[in-house]
Amino acid sequence: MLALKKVSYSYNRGKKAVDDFSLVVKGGEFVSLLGPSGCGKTTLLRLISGFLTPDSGAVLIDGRDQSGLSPSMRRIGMVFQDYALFPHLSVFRNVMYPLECRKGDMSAQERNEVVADACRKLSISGLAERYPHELSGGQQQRVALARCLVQRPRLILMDEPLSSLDPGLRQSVREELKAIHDELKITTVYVTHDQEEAFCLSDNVAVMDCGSLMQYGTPEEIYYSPANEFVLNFTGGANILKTDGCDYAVRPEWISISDGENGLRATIESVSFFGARTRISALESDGNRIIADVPSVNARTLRTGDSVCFEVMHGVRI
Amino acid sequence: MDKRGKIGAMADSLRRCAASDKLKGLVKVRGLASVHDFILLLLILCIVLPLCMVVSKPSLSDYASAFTSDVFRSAMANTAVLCVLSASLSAAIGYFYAYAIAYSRVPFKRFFAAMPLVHLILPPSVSGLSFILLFGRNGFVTKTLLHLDVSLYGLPGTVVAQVLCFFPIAYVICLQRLRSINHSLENAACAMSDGYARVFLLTLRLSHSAILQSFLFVCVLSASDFGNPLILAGRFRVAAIEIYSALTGWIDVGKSACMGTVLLIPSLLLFILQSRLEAKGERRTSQIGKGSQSDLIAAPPAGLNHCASGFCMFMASCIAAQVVSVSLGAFQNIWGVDWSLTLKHMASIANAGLELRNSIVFSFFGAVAAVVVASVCAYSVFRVRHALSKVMHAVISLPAAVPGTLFGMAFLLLSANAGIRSSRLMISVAMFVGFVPFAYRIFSSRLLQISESLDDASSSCGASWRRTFIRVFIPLSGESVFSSLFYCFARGIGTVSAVIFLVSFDTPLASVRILSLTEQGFWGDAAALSLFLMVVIFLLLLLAYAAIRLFGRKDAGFEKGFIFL
Repeated sequence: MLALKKVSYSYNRGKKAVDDFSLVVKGGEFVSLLGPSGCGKTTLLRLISGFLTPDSGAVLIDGRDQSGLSPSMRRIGMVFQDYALFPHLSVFRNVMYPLECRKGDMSAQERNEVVADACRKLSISGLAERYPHELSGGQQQRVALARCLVQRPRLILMDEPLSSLDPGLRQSVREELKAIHDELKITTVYVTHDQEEAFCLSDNVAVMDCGSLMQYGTPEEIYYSPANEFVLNFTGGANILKTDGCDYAVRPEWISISDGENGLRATIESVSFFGARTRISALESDGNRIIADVPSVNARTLRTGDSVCFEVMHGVRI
Repeated sequence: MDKRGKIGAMADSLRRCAASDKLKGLVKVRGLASVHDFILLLLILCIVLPLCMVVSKPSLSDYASAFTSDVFRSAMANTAVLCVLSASLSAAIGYFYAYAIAYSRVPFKRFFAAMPLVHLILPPSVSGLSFILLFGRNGFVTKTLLHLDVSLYGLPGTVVAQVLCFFPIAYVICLQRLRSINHSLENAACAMSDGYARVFLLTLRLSHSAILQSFLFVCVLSASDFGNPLILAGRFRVAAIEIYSALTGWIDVGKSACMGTVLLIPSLLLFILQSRLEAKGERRTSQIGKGSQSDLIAAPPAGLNHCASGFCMFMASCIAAQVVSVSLGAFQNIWGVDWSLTLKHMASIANAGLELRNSIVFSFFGAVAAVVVASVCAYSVFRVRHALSKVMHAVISLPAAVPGTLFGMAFLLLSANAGIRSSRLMISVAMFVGFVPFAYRIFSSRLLQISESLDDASSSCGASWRRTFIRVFIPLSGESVFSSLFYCFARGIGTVSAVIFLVSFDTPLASVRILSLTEQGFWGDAAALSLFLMVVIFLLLLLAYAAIRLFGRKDAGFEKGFIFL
């Protein structure tokens, strides 16, 4: 279990990168730190790993305060954004590296078996003799994960590990990550600014802004019940609609085109085609703008200037 | 307080400074603190302490008599004139040579790009000796070719020799800056104007700080140069020679130390200014991005290409002429008088066996020590960021700003005061100190190229700093290890100024013997000994090259590995 207790940290210029941050991650959970660039996600990850020391507060792993423990003593596995594979070592030696650092733990034969097993699990057995520069991004990612797993970490930290992969590959690696976590159930903290990635991988998501925790909850809670305007906007934005004197946040994808007359009538201002979905921007007669994301197949005939009726499927009172 | 007490107090005071610092974002690495402290103490003992001895040596009356002395004032004025002339010409030539290599279409570009680097590793004596052989009273160019009876000794000869010696350094500094310029800016300038002049002016504007940096760097080198003025300056007395003469001729330690201290102040100021410019240049490079991968659209006009080719050819010929004249001088009976071939000068090398052995052994130990200390310091300063890292950075960079003669005197005072009788030890330490800043620069540059996440990855895998240093940093710095080892050795074997006060009957050095032979007019013997040193250096260069090919990473180029500055 990981617990962050009122952790604060500021760089030399004085501005707080992490501000009074508290969080409890249960054993075996997959938690994502989600937020825009510069919000303190990576700083928080470095505080957990021990590369930075908090100004105040404490980091506890399995109930034990990690203060004063160097990164090498925390038994935390890390997967870096650039994978940080040692370029002068083969895949096998890269994966073996953590075990060589803790030679006393097991015999040479055991170490070889553990490495072979990790390579098998991540389907990189055939790449054992290759060097990092001879691998594709996805393969490097797997090697980095294998290197992380062989040390049997109490906690895995991942710093935007999919950001340098192309979208197609990102999708498949994401599924593999999910499968590996489901199998091993190692507590994982994952840093990303990609909402979709955080939602699909995580048991819980911590949304951050300016070093502070904005909301912590399941992906569904974050999506359907955003705690504040920042969370609402960062997780996709929403239309603010007034009904019966109350404001409701309605995400664009919660609006559909209605065949009937019951709904919100508006005049289309622009139509943007994104493939599977089409984004429609329309103006109501009172000047209120409505943004709707509808299946493209339902919006094929719509043009700028058309009058259309929208139906709201879901809304959150704010 | 005895010496040990003083050193202990100094270390305690430094520790107190460290303790009072707010260690923001610093990584605490167990075990490194003691290594760091040990190396910092070693550097303070080898660099700061001897300098303190020199600076504290002169009395107020020494300063008073120095400032009222005509010799002192004229030496300082001459040094200033020499510095300005040599540095201006070296910076201008270095810049245009670098521009020709980086921008114009020069044939055999790789050859021309490498030629100035070759000069960087030649023994310093080659420059002065070759000048005598080519332009002296019996010089090949002045007497044999042009039948002139002129003397270029004095200011002109020293300037020419220094320019040929130091323009390669300016070239390296300028080339690095020119290669870091993003071509998209120049392409934009090209699209907005119809002449190449505007593109050139933009390039000049983006790289002008490199010219200034080269100027300042060469100023420091020129002020501390000892070999060239000793051979060529004649009655044009400069500070470095006066420091030497005051100590060896007049046995006046106070006067010599006084002149050294006065020379140290402008040298330090120039060096600090140069370092700030360099840091600013690095920041600018990081802001505007590394040199663009895209090609420069604006092609230099044909006339410029021809001029650049001619210029490169001329400068490369000057460098080649130096090597060739010294090589031939070793086989001529009497240079300029009797051109018949002889092996007697080469045979005379046998008489210098002890000198050669000493030079090789001392410079080897000095180089090994410099590489070990520089690598650990660079790692400590740029990666671990110990509390005293800035102090360590300043101390290890200091020798680059201090005239070699001053260091020579500093070690002499240290050995006298500390009762160290071993001139072997002192010479090795002098060589170590003289070249450790260059090794440190090579390792620092390499560290900046190695992603910091590799260190973090190693730590998170459970590795101690020692394992990370040995298993990650050193293997990835293969080129730096061999380059700095080779460079420190090559420079150490030919160094004069820092060791001239330290040689004794049982520890003569080849470089000092070459200087002595040249001064006495035994040019053939001096050329033979210089040729031998050159052969040793080139053989080692081949060895270092082979080692880099064998152990270095495949994605790092030879030229990159051998850029020393």
